[in-house]
Amino acid sequence: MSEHGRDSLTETALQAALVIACLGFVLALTAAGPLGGWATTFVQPGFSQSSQRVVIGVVLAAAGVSLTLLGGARGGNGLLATVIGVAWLAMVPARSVDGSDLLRGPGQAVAMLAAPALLGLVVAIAQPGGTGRRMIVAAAILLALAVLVAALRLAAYDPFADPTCVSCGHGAQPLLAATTEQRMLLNRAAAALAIACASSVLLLVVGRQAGGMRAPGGTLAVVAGSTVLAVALAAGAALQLASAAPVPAPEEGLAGIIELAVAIGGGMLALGLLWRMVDVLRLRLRMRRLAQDVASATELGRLDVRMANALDDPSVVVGYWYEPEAGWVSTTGLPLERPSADADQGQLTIERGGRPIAAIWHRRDIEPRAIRKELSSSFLVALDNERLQAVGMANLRVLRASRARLVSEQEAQRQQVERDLHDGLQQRLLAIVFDLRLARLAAERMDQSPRSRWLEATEMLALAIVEEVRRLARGIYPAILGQAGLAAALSSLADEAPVPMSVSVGPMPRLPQSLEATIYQVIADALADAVRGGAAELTVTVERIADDVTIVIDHDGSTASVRVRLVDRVAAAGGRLFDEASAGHGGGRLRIAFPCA
Amino acid sequence: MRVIVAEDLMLTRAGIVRLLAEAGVDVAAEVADAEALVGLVAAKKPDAVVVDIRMPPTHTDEGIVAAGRIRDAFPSIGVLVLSQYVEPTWALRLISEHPEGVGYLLKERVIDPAVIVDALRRVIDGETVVDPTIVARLLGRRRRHDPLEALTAREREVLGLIAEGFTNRAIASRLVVTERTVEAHVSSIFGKLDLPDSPDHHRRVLAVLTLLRT
Repeated sequence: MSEHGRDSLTETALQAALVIACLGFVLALTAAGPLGGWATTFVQPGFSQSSQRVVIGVVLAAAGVSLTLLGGARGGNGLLATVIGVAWLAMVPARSVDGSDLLRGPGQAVAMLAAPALLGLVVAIAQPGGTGRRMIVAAAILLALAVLVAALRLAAYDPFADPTCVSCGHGAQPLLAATTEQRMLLNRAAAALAIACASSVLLLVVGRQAGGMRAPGGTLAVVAGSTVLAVALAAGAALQLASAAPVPAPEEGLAGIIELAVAIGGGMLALGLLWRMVDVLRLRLRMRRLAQDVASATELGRLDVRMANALDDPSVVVGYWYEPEAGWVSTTGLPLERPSADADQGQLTIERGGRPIAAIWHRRDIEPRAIRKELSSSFLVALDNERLQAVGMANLRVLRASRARLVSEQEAQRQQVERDLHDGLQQRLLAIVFDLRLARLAAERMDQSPRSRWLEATEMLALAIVEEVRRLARGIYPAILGQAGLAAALSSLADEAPVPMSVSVGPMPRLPQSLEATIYQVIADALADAVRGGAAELTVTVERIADDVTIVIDHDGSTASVRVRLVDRVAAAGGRLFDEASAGHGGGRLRIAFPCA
Repeated sequence: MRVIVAEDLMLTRAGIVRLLAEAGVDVAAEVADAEALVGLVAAKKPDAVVVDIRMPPTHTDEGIVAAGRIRDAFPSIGVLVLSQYVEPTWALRLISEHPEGVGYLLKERVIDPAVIVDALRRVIDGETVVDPTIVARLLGRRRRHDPLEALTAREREVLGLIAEGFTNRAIASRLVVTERTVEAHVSSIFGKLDLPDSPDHHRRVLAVLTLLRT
């Protein structure tokens, strides 16, 4: 655990270093311009500003595309990252004063998609569950609105009406005729949408819904970058709304700082996505190594442990589908409770022929598609081998439980028979005995000696039957066992044993009734067999040792006859039997152990 | 003498009540469960109580528990516990918890008026009663090193009667000898068995029974 703690500390340190590196990188870019007054460089539309935008835009777009290709993009966030990148690039022609006005219109339109795309990206990474699903709907609506407004802006772009277009005058005709007021409305709508998206991003990051974003893996940079970017974009849009101009005048100091913040946020986001890319590559490499490792392994190892190491995720659980119980079992055949209450895990199901055969549960933020791409055919064969073992163990478990239940039911039935004999038959026999005696007493009072003698004989017969029923019932099940426990029942057994039998029961709590019945039966059987084998005495000890109840039976009869019967009974109750030769003289020692939790 | 009978099975209860009546015992009340028993005893103040060991709800040892409560509350009232099981465990438990004024008898013993009246009188007098069948079973237990081998036949006989709870005087009258002879036998027996010869005759019953159970 401490190792894991150290790892997360290293992670945090790495991430902090990454953030600082991001800042440094962006500052270095800005310092590429003339020294001194670096903030103003930002304000001046020039080479350094454009180059910064191009670099970040290209990195973002490239990271988005690569993530999608590598399988590390969840919920289309790779696509969204690309969109942000393209929007970034679009800012170049959008903001350039003397650039081509053919690109300005589309540039402005695409550039305004940055904020909604950012929201989409954050939603895709955060994957809010439960009530946060409203956020997904909201994000989708905002994105759709943004696309609509962008399309309208594009269609209505008139270079003549753009106050920042200095050298315009000859260019494309707008597709849609619009008045200045309508254009202002569109611009305001774009700004409002940007603010709405940015606020949503902040809500997600700061609120509880962004659980998926706090995971390690370098997404700290993505989180931080998104936050900064969102704030900056919102500020820029607010500024835009406040002033009448569609684009803030470049020489305002506040505008300059906002531009700087946008650049920093974008840079961090870009580096964060690059780091994510690296993570996904590392994951796939580890998975590939694991697949090769597993394919060449000769013994059936603990696949879940190996996977946990490969994925660097100790919470990994591998389960195999077990049809008889319609559920999942572990590699040792024990049932797995899945999906568990701990919903913070993703599930990767591996199927064959349309039916599930295995599943891997892993930490939420690990990309299942990245894992799936590395599941080579040899890995699947190894997985299948483990599955066969797991199914075999599960079958064994189910069989053992079934056998134990049968034995337990048998014991319960015997108890019932004893009770019926005692409560029903014996009671009525006693009543007959009582009546016979009363009749005899009446006969004697009336001096009817022949009748009295006959009644006496019948009474003795009835009493003999009572005694026989008592013995019969006792042979089926000793009632004292259920009433007073194992020690009392064994003392009783020794009372009537045909050979001297010494019993000692160590201190222990009351055991489950079926276990006590089994132990009693085992000892009774051993006694009978030992006597049949010529034993002249028996010593029995019953003790609780660790998690087992251990019974030791020493006898001086022939060993063979004792062992055979007991094996089945002991095994059915989940116990173990050891035949130990007795020291010196003939006879034997049996040691039987039953687990009692 | 006046007794209260507690037995949950009606058939058996009716038989016991009639046989007690035949023996000249006045049955002041009958009851079918142990809960009502103690209250009834307080109300009726009988000389003794005859109670079945197995009664609702658990049908295990309610009789013994009730015997304890009655003895604690009314030390002058004797209790006879009736059972269908020849189980030394219950007799031992009963006597170890309440050595005075209790008895453990097999249910069929009730048919013999002499036996039942004698048992009732003894528990009323504060003595102990153990069914001879139980004693016989304990005496008949096979042992590796039998401490009873050292006893003479007569001494074994006396030992059995001690285990059944009889006083020296009662033993003397049964064996048709003097009480002093019995006392000598008792000393000899307890010496050979290495038991503390306690003048308290309840303790000696328990001591002998425990020894016989090894």
